[in-house]
Amino acid sequence: MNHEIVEAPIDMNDLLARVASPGAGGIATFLGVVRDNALGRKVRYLFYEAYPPMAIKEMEKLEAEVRERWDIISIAITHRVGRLEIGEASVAIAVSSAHRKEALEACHYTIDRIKQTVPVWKKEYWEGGEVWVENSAGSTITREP
Amino acid sequence: MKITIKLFAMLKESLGEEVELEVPDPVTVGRMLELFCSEHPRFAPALPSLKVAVDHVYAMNDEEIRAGQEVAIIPPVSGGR
Repeated sequence: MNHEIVEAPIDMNDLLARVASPGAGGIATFLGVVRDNALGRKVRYLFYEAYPPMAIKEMEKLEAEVRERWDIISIAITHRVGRLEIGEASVAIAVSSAHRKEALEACHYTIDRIKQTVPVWKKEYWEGGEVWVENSAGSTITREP
Repeated sequence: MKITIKLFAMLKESLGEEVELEVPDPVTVGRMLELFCSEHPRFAPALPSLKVAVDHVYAMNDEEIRAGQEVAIIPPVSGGR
């Protein structure tokens, strides 16, 4: 299983091992971390929640999408759930390919799409309040009227 | 028929992990959402932003829900810019 939802801290070395290949000429990585501010508010910590079986399925669909567009060797996605402190990693991606361009582009595409389709929710706790955050980019999943 | 709906994020916080809902058999995804919102009117304004997953796959409004399927309401997924 190359994609996972975890509660324990994310170890990027684990993702690197999952995408390692003798044919790889490059591995691109992305690590999303908890920032201490949002919309002018001082964030204390975040809480992430997922619908794990569906999240894994959406990550697999995303991998299929990536493979249609780029000639990559392997891709690994890990999303963490639960309470995360400032500076901790919430999501990690590693993509290996024969040449760097494919890995870099696929990695960028993957993080953008994760935030649109994978059922993971984020709640911000700041000084004096809390809110479930919606994706500022909006969703591309359309429902018929 | 009575279906069990899995909830997440703000819905789960208010109503719990699951709610039961009496719906016609068969029922479409869109009708089920409307019935959910009439049962829980404070979420009616959010209806256009709610999606539904049936057996872990996003479902269109005209799809039918059958007994025994896993139904979940998916609020807007989160992300940064």
